[in-house]
Order: sequence, then C-alpha cells, then structure tokens
Amino acid sequence: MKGNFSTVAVAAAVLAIAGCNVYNGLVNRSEGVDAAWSDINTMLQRRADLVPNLVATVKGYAAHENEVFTEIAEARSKLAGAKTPSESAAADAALSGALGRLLAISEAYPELKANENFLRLQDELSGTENRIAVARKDYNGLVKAYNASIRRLPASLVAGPLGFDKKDYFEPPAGEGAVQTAPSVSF
Amino acid sequence: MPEDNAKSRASRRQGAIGKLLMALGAGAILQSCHTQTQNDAANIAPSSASGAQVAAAAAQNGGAFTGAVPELEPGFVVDPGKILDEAARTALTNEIAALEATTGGGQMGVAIFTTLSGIPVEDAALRMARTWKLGRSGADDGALLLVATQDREVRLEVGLGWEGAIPDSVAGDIIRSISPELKAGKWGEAAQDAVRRVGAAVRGEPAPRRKGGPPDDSDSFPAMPLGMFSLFVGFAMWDSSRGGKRKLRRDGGGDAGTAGAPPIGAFPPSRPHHFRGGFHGGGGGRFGGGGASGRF
Repeated sequence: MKGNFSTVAVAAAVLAIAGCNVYNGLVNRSEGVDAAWSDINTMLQRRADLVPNLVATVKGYAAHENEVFTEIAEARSKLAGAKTPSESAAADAALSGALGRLLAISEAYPELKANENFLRLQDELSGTENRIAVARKDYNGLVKAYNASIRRLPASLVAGPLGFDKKDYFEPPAGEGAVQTAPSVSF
Repeated sequence: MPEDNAKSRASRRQGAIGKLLMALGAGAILQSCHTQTQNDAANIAPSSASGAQVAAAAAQNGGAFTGAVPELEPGFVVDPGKILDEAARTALTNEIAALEATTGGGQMGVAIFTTLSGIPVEDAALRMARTWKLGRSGADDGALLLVATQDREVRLEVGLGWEGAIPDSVAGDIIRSISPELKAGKWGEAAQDAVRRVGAAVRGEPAPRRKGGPPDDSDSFPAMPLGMFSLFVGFAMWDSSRGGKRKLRRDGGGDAGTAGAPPIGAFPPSRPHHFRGGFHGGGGGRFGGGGASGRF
C-alpha cells in the first residue's frame, strides 16, 4: 500500500514538472512572437513618422499632386487605427502602394530628385521598408513555429485550456494588394 | 522469506521509480528540444550549403551568387569569382583589419559577386550577414558591403549595433559617394572607400552601444541538465532492479530536425577572434535589415 502511494506521489510530481515544462515552453514561444510583433510595430510606426517629412518635401516641388497626398494620409490613419496583425498588414500595404506612387511622381521632378534631403528621406524610407520586410519574415517564422507547437503533442493537450490560441500571420487578407518590396534608389 | 519478499518489493518499487524518472528525463529532454527549435526559429538564418558544394557552384558560375551563402573567409573578403586581384584584396583586408582595430572590435565584411541571379540585393545581403554573423555578439557591431558587378547593384547592410552611428541616410550617403568608383569598375578602391567611411561614421560616435543581446533563455537552461540527470538516475535504478541486465535503447522518436542539434548551452557565448585557433566566421552580430541599397 505504502509502495503504491509513493509511486502515485512520484507520478504526480513527474506529471506536474512535465506540465510546467510544457507550459513554460509555450510561454517562451508566445513571448517570442509578441516581441517580434512589437518589432514590426516599431518599424511601422517609424515609417509612419517618416511620411510627413517626405510629403512636405515633395509638396515643396509638386504641390498640385493632391490625390496621392490624400491617399497617403488615409492609409496612415488606417494604420494608426489597426488592431490586428492582418489589419495592420492591410493598412501597411495600402501605405506602401501610396508611397510607391509618390516616389513615381517624384521621378517627374528633376529638382526634387536632386534634393539632398529628399534622397536621405528616401534612404530612410526604403531602409525602414526593408526592416519591415525582415521583421515580417521573422515574425511569420515565429508564428508558424508557435502555431505548430500548440497543435503538437504534448502541448496540444494543455494549450487550449490554458488559453494559448493560434496567432495571426502578418499578412494582408487575400486580395488586398500584394506586399511591396522595398524600392531601391537609383543614381 | 519475508525479508526476501520485502527486498523484491523494494526492488520492484525502485524499478518503477526508475522508469518514472526516465519518463521525466525524456520529457525534459523533449522539452529542451522544443526550446532548441524555438531558438533556431528565432534566429532565422538560411542554411548555408556545404563548402564543397559552394566551391563547386562558384567555379561553375564564375562568381555568381545563386542562393547558397559561401563560407566567410579570413580577412572578411568574399570574392569567389576572383574579381579583385591579389594586391587589391590585400589592401582591402588591411583596411578591414584597421577598421576592426579602430572601432574596438567591429567587423565589416565585403562580398563581391558578378550577379545575384535575380535575388533581391536586400535578401542576398541579409542572408550573408545573418549567416556570417559579422560583429560581436551583444554589441552587434557589424556591417557588410555587397557588390554585384554585372547586376550593377550594391548594398551596405548595417548591424543592429551600428544603426545608431550609421542610420540609413548615412548608409545611403556612403553608397552614393562610392558609386562613381563602382561605375568606373574600381571595385577594390570602392570597397576600401566604403570601409573607411564606415569606420569614420562609427568613430564619430563614442563607442558602439551594447544593445540588448540575445533573448534571455536562462529559464530553459535547467531542462537539459535535469533531464539528463534524471534519465541517468532512471537508467541506473532500472538497471540495478533488473539485476544488471543491460537494455540500453536509443530513443529513435522525436523530431527528425533535432537529431543533430547540439545541446542547449553548448554554444560559446562569443566566438574568439579570427586567425587564432581556426576560423569560425563572424563574432555573432545580429542584423535587422538596416542599411541602404543602390544601383550604379
């Protein structure tokens, strides 16, 4: 009897420790995903902050291109109001599209293209876009690993009851514009 | 007789505890394997092909980058197509060594290919930078200049620790100021110039700030030792309870991907300086996509 009792006690301890291990693993992964998400947000914010400067510089040379300025302003406010990764991704894609058009317009203004300030803003902008692309890839990779882990044994037994849900990829919903690659500056 | 009985019961119990401990050991190891894959995922770096493969590919393509990141060479100049002559290469290597000396350990690499085979220059540069891990671990003071001579593309990839000293606009300035030399096909001079300018930009700031460092995974550390320990204890007890009959069996299950993974905690915190005790590539610096690209 005593033997049985201690066996049960050891089994319970083992299960508890194993459970804690699984739980801690999920917490680590989940935190990793959240950290990567905040990296993306930092970069999105950084780009949104660059936009007013860029718009102001372009306006100095091409004040009448109102349509694209409005488009940019709208995309920016959408980005500020986005709550989920896919909303953010959609707003980000819209902003990318509008910025692409802004840069295309600037091609028609040689003086603007030669403006030192404009060139450096463009560097910052494409650098930030590249960082967003990198952060997105890292984030999606972590989400993929996390989503797989909560579906794999033994974590799948405890993930649901403990509130570890599937996480969203940073991707615009299908059909809302392909994600743009960072434009590179030509001389 | 009762004594005998008690003995066998004790031995049976010992056997059961041994098995349980082994189960615990296996669980903990499984867990640390999970943590391992997680760490791998966090440090997404594309796998580099084996040296022989890369050498063969380079010989075939005459210095084209086709997606397989070649090994970083001592001196941090990677030029599989021998686009630089011996003198230019030596001068560049010296410039890079001077940069390392004057920035207190920063590492800058220069990679020259003929073409990137359609791979975007940002992707190619990041893949190389993350594979080679230029810069010291924790300080992340690394940079990489990538030139594709036929594609006429160039990128300066800046490590996380140097993003303060070399923001993208400064990286863009550097690219713009070397582009006349690139246009003229003076690859060696252009690369030396870039290394000098990176050094000047970095020295303009007091010292590279030690940023965050790798994510803290200290609480996953006990998993492996605990797992190993209980596994061994479990084996020992199980073994002794079975009268010393050896029944060692390697666990064939689990993730195929973790088969060759080194145990957690086996990574050196920081790699020693190159040229000493074998060359192991960069020092563990991280890259987040900062820098600037251009066409010439």
